[in-house]
Amino acid sequence: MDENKVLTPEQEAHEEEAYNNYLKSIHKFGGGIMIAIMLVTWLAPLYVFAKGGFPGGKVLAGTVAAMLVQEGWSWFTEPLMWLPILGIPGLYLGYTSGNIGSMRAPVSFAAMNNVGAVKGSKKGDAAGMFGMITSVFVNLVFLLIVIFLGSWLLKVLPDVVTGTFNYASPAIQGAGTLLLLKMLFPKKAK
Amino acid sequence: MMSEEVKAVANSPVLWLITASVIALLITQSLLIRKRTKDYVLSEHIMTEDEISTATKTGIFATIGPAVAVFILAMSFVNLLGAPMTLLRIGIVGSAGTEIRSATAGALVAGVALGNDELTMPAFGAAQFACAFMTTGYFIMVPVYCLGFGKLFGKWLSPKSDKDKMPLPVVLLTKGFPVAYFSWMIYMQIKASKINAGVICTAVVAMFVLDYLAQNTKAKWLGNWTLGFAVMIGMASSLIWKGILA
Repeated sequence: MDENKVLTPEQEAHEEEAYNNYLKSIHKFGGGIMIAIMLVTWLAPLYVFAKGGFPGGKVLAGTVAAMLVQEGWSWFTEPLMWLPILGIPGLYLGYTSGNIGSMRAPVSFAAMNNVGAVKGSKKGDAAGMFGMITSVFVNLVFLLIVIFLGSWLLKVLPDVVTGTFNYASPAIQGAGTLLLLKMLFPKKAK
Repeated sequence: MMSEEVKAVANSPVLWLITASVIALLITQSLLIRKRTKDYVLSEHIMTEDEISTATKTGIFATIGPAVAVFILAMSFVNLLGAPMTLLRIGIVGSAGTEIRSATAGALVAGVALGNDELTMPAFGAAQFACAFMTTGYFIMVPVYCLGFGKLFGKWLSPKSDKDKMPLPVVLLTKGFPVAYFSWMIYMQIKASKINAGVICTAVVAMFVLDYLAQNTKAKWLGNWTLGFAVMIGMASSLIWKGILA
């Protein structure tokens, strides 16, 4: 789409309506399934409680206090920070699939960059989204490897290779930040 | 590090079933959102089929580096809290770092130092509770923000033309926040070790060169691989930096 073209009011109204309809379905799938996932995750502690793992009200109250201190502030600030970066569909998926800062956001930047989209544009949000969804599936495959072959892999891989694994995070931060800067401050407006 | 009793519950079919249900929900959500986004961008001519396929493919290789980072953290978690909880908490739902902090805090309140003491049932319960409680806050705030600010943000963030001027608070929010966040992450990495600083520099240079080659030479295929390659080059450079800085 030529982003600089001048739209007639009718076209503009049509675009806005299409976007709103799209967002409505994203709220339904994104938000609805997010709440469903939240409810299902609560079954895990409840099951452990039922099996003799109930730590008592005092411990639970202490845990709540610890979590409020540790995460309470981030509950309000963190999603607000990611919203403009990932867009609405990206925010829903980012939080249900996790590891935003270390995985979803850099992958999303890479996808945007690769199709030459500007961050914050509809094209940018969508391109980031497609990249992010791929990462959900690729990461699931990796996790299954961790679960079933992890200890074996660490045993058979030479130390030279496993030693570099500890530097994955700084490497992602470096490369990801460069992509982010490129996206935030494009040389010429497209 | 787990008593036999905890081990049995931590690897029980019920916890596996809960984990599998969450994975199924996540896959369903991903596919539904993908389908709706694809329909929308195609019908509104925002992206072409080719661009969608390019963006999709970029995700494959770009995920490998980050997945290795999650792999490291997950490996230590499996032994501490069992495979199903690792898959559920670290792999999906939360971020590896936040989840480990939360589980550690929960167990600690119950009197168990994860990794040092034997994990007791109540401590396992408290760790599970801490993680679930922690994500609940996010899972409530995300829809609230998306629904509440969604319209407002949509207007600000999707300018009809890039020449539209964004108001200053929006510029700060959309450009200042991300830059501050990533700068902070880099600062924390460098503070942790000098080798990290070398790795970061190498990854930045590698990313810059690879991206330049992908955009300006005939090697267009490289575009799908830049982030993955840059991360791997950065990781490999740790071997050299260790020699120089150690």
